Amino acid sequence: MNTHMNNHMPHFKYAGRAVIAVALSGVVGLAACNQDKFLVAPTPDVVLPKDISGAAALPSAYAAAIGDFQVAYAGGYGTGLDNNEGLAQMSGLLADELVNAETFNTRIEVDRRATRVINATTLQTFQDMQRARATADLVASRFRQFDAKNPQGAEIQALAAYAYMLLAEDYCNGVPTSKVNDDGTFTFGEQQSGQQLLNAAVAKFDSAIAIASANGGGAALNLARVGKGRALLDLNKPAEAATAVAAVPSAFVYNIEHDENTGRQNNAIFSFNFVESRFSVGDREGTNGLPFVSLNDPRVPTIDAGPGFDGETELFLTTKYGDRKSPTPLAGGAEARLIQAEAAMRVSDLTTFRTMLNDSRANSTTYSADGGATSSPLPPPAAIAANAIPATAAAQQDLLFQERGLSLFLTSHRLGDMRRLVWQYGRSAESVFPKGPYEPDNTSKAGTNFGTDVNLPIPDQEKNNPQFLNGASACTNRSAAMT
Amino acid sequence: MRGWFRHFLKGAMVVAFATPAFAQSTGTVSGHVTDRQSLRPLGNVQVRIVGSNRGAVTDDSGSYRIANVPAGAVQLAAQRLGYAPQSRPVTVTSGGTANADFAMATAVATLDAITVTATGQTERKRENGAPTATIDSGSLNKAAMSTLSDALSSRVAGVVVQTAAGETGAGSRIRIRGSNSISLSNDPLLIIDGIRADNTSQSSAQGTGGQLPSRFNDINPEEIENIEIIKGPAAAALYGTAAANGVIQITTKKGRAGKTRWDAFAETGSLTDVNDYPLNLRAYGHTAAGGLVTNCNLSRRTSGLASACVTVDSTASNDPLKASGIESTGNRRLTGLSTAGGSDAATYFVSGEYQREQNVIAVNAEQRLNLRTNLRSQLTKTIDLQLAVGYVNSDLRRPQNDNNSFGVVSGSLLGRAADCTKVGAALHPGLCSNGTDTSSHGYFNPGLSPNDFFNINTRQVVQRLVSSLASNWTPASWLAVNGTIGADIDHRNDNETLPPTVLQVDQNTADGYRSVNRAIISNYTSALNASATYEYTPKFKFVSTIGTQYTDVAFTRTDAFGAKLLAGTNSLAGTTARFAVSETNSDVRTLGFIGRQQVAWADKLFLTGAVRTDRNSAFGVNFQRVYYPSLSASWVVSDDGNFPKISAISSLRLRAASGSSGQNPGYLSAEQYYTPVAVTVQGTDVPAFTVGGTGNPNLKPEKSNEIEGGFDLGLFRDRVNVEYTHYNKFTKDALVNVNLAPSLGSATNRFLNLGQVHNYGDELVVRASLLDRDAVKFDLTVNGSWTQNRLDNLGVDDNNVPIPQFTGGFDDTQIFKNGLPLGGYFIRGIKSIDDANKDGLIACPNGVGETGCEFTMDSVANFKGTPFPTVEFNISPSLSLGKYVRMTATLDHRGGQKIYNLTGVYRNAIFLNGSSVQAPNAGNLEQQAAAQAAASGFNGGYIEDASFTKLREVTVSFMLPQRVAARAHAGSATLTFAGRNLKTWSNYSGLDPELNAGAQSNFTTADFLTAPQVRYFTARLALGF
Repeated sequence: MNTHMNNHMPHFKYAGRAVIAVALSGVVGLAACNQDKFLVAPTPDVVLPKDISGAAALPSAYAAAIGDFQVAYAGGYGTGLDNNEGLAQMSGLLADELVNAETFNTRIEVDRRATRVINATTLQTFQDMQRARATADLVASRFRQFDAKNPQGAEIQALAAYAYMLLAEDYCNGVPTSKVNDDGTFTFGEQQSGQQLLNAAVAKFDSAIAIASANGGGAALNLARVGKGRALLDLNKPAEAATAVAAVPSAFVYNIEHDENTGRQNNAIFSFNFVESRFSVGDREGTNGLPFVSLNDPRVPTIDAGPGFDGETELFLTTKYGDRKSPTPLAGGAEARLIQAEAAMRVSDLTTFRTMLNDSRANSTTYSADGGATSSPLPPPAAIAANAIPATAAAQQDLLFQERGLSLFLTSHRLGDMRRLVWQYGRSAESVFPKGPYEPDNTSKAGTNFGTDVNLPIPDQEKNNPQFLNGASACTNRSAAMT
Repeated sequence: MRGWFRHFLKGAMVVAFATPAFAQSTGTVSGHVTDRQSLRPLGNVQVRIVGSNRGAVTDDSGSYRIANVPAGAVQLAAQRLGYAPQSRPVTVTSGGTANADFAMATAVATLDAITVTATGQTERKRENGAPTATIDSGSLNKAAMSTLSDALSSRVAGVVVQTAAGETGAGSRIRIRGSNSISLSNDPLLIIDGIRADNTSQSSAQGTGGQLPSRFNDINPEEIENIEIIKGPAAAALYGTAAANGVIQITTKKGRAGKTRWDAFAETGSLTDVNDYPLNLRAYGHTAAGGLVTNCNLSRRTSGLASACVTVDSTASNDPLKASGIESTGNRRLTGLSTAGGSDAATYFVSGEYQREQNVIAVNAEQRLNLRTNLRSQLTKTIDLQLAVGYVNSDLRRPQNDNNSFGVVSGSLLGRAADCTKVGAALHPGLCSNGTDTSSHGYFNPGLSPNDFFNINTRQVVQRLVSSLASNWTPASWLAVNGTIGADIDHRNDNETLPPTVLQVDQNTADGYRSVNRAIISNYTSALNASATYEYTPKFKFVSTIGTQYTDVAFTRTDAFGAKLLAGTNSLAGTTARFAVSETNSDVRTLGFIGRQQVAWADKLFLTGAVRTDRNSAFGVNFQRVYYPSLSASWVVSDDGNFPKISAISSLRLRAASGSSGQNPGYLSAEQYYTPVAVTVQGTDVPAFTVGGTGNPNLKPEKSNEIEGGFDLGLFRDRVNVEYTHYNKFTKDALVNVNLAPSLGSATNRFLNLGQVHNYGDELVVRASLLDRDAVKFDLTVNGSWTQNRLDNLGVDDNNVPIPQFTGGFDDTQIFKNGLPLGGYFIRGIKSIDDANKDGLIACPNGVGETGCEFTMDSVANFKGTPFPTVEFNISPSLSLGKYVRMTATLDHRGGQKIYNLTGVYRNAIFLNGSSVQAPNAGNLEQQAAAQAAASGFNGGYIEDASFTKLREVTVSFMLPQRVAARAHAGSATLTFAGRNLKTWSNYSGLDPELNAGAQSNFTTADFLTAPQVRYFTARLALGF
């Protein structure tokens, strides 16, 4: 071996020097050459802004706005921000539509009307709805820029308006709406009263109506009309609300669609009710709650599924959301009739009141008793007889709001309705919202009482908005009034 | 070509071709090593040429031989565990053989111990002002450890290994000198044989509730020659944009010239759960009116209402773990074989090990095969080539655990006690099955056997190849060139299968499903370094080094899911619904250049300056390059002629260093992007997108700057060695994952270089050889550290507005706030307790702060403590009796840390099965107040002191007489008995103060239904041939 190596000494002598030169030069040469080519990392999983700007991207942008709204409104069952309850659930949990069968504190405290500003679940719901609003605003602006007459632009504009309205209905007063500018900088919004948000919503609905009516956008048109009527009702303008929805066909329904394809597209109301047994349909929750189960109404059929996730709370499933692809209604003709019924009630026009209630009943979607895929929906509820219309204003209100509760069950209407009962109809919060002991006696979780929330707080995270530094609360007030 | 580059290239050519001292001649160094006291030959001594990778190991006769040493003056170093390392200069002549004998003395000093530098060369500790801690393989009693994390735990001052659970395959949280980063990983960089290796501490795509495997534990301790801990930026500057959290540098075993040696071992052991689980309780009583109350808990007893439970009649209790008999004694089996040998021309080390560990929970087990081949070939007199290939194949079955009601421990802790007699069962039919609860045994899910959850089969299969090819070229005694290329490629398959109908919790479980996540994690490294030594005078020496390094850390994962599994299948092919696919990729590349200059005087004063500059693919487009300078000084004062002769002081070194290193932002953190999604539009799924990241084009690396100083003191002829270090470390431009106001409707967070984090502390190591006789030898090592961590500043945003504090951890109990430790607990605590009516019950009928509440709370949240120890020290005695018996132990203390007892919250404020609420008495008033407060959403009473002292390990080894070994045809035989997790002393009210359902996460720390550590007893027989 040594001999072999010695024989090659001269060779290595020169080769060695060459290698040294190459090594040293290599280090320096690498320093001097174009290093960028060593540092380009691929990004195959994401879309860059340049890929989604321009008219060609409008179809995917349209779908993006719908998708973000779906997650915000009815939740998703995917991962990260896509795995969360939507506002339809969280508002229903704070109201009387859902009760927890749950062990997660962040949901229990919402149900108990004692939500802290630090609450990961409600933070995510708020983030989702703000994202839906921002995306819809952005996409609507893109339609105005590239295809102003497209009814899809009107539809997205209406969805943006719905986002503003839902933020007003379900959150305390003070919700800001901020913006990421095209150059990546931020414009932070200030506190807005519910009224300001609702006015913004009405303006957007009007814009959507204008575009849709001029360009044959039927679905978008009626979606915007119902939305405008709802917003005006929130603004305590029942007559104007009735006018806004008068032309909406009773059979009209606008659904937020779901699918089994991806977790994000799943109907989270179904998932957290049927699949995870976390939420149960409420039945006289906290004494004041509507008897959603006991009424056995075909608009809210329920199944008793035994104990829920916590092992104790009786779990009632609603077949309204019987599988992962069940749609979540956002607006419909039945709601339009209820708006008209309320306007009539407010002026004591009981004939129109009953007619509209019955029209709503006849056109409300009903569901099967067992939730089976092939089961037929139950027949609609019977018409209300003339003599069943109560004589007193309070009883009429009870009837109206029960009809609304059943017809619009778990569509993020109920919390706004309960707030309206307080500030538009003069009832006390303790006569409208669940009260008293939070859990029944003799259950493991017994021992606490309902709190005083009548809306959801703006999450603590909003303090990253420069408007709310120095410990200032983002809510201007927690009152039921959307003012 | 720019002018400066042209000039440099010319210079390089001149150096390469015109240097007259470019002799290719070599010689040999050989010698004999003996024990100075007994004069007996010493085997297994490493003798190395300092500044290169050349070396040899003495054989049993104490002889060694190093061939092909470049002619000239070289520094020779010899070291063996338990002896004082020595170094001496040797002049090698061309074709000649230089003799260098060593007589080594028993001592604990380490000044001349060899360490490996960032550029791949070796140096003695005395040369570097920033000390590197070394764990020598020989100091590890492997029978007492089940993972590499165990090997690291409690052995190095400033290194804290937090074992979060008693789950086989679960990783640990490793922190070196505190936490530097608010938002990025605080895990150290892992280097194996010169190449970057995957050290992901939460390495799985399948969550089971809390614990996750760590890639650190893939590495087999048996294959390791030594572990070097480069603790902070002062020492790790040349490792660049990855080393801010310190570096763990592993060198695997190599062959040695001489007779082939075979080593074999077999180990067997048991795992037992010796934890004292709390009983689940449920009190029964009656109201004043005589009404039956079936849950007579604290709240019900103190409500003051007519429905209040005024008398407790009986209390049902249950321990579901025992009632179900679901745990059993686990076992551990290992067997390994290795061989090493070779000649001057080539050496080899080949090893294999198979291990199987069955946890006390039936569905938690791991099988692992480790194979390694390390070859070294002397291609020419001046060029060697080293190939190191390590292969791991593991199959881990993971249990449901922690924040998961399907878990064995979690389901038990949240379970119920109930009167399930016929009469009692009628009162609460949901809790009892057929009157006796024989199915769920009081577990969380009534009516379901806890064994039903074992049908969920969660596995991780890993096939990992860590391979490197390194070459050293030493054309002259003054010049060394080395290059390394290598890759760590890890194929990870996480999957979970649940057959249909076997678990009827909900529709998801009833349908069954299969989920597969296949990932490839790749770490590629290439490096080239050249080092030149110039002896200006015999006393003055200059060492210059330049180099470059390129790393590419890539991750790609494909996910697939399907539900409604066909019974009998356990593949995606058998699924029929809800198909989902996804893909995740990331890739971060770094290109760095290194320059280093050392000046040495008389082998006692060393000054070193260095700089590394990096570019990285994850930097923002507006940031190009980062520089990491470093300086170090080391002065062996005792070698100076003017040093006063003090008999007790045998050596003294003063040292100081400063330097910086960094950490790159995450992949895509600098980019603005959208994420593709599917959306249903009019019944059809169409492609769409949603918000991804907001991006930040100015993003740059976090940069940690450290200054450290200290001394190494040898006392009493180096029988006692004291190392003290004080360090002060600032992380600037700390990446803050700033929460964005939700009203923006954008991504939830954005990285900004804003913050400053400060870590400082002291480290002390005392090694003492207290008794050294032929019959008895007693050594003691004590190492400890005091660590303080503080978030100096979260910084200000673009509008000069301060970034507000933000929270994290379970229930947002932890905070990131200026002036406080990162992730410190910050919450309203119980301020005072007054059992006004002296009934032994703490009432709070109308809520916290309201009338009748017998405790008060802090008016505002305040700091309650940090989840990380601020003080830790370990005591490791070693007692040898003659040549045949050796006993060791490790006592580990950690103090100053707190833990969030979320298990307590759930048991006493939500599920109400804990003693605070079901068996309240005058002895647990504090716990009662904590429970009452938690029921109202104030959990501050559950931040508890988590200080502890643990007897981690005890081992007893018997070196069997040769005549016994010979019966197995072996040259040596050692029988070792070991125990681990033997005793805990702590005031913590939960099961174990080390538990953490946040597992290896950056800061999140809470005991939340986590399975506690189990006790190991093992016996190992090792044979040498």
